[in-house]
Amino acid sequence: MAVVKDSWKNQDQMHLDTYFNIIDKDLAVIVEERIDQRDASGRVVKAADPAKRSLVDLYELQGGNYVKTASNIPFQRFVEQDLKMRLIPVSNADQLKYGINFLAVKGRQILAIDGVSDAYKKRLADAGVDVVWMDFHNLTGGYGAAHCTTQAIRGEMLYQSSNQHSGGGML
Amino acid sequence: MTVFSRLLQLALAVLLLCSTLPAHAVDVVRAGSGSQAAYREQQTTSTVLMVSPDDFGFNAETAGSNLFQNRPDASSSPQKQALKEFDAMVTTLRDAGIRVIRLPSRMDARTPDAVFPNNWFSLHPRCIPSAPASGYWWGIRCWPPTVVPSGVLISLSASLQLMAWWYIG
Repeated sequence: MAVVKDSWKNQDQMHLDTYFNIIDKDLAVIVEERIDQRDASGRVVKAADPAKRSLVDLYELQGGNYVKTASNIPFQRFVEQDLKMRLIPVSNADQLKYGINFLAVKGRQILAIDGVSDAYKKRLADAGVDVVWMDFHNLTGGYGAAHCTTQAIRGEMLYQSSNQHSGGGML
Repeated sequence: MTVFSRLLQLALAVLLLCSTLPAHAVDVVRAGSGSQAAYREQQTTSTVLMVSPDDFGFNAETAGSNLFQNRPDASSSPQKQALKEFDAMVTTLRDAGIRVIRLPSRMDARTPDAVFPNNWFSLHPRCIPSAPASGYWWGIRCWPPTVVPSGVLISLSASLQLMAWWYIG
């Protein structure tokens, strides 16, 4: 289990699903100001403000108890290197329009809130993401969007190698 | 920052990370390896719980600290429009093969943001068959106990309940 620790007290990114979300086992989105920006060669061209970086503690279930096995891993490094996910950076403007608070139905298929920029839509399309854009402009008045309206209530544990790719489902 | 608020923040982070992950992506990474484990433990579900926005509206209680709520003008009726948006999402999910358990909002109290259940979580059976007759456990109502089989994970209450559970062990 990964515990994400966020020390940035920023109300418009108050929950993890307001600044980070997963699209598929190898693809996620994150607000751009929280991560180091890199060029095509991988060189950091703009470093994130340290105050805006999240950190991760890892816990492992051992004998019925969760035991901390690692502390303060930079969130970006954890996602990109340990989970081997590519991060799509999202602008603050699109974050404020609930562009991150989508719901993944299955790999690379999401239900998202319309109103975001064409550039963000193109970035998702270029990554092969199938998006159902929904009108949520009344519900977002309560300061929540697609992900906030759902709660997974039952999980099934699947064991598979890291190279396999499972089918549908949702969490 | 108090210990309680720090623990609350930590608990919310755990819950939100777990509830953010999509079907393929709740992974267990081995301790200290710095790389992916030989196996990945994945959690999927094809069932979600949603709460219809029957009493949706401006939440005056949280308005003081939540600057992002929209205060509707007196002539508008956001509840009806919000319900249409909610219904459309339920239909879309069901069309995608997802089982949606749709619960009503409580109407015996103001519940303007009951439509957002993602930040509540409870996975202990204490409040179900053995709960006091009042239906309350540590001051928070278990809702509704009859639909929850013992031991099944379901989202029921506020994170404060989880914190009480954490404190007590």
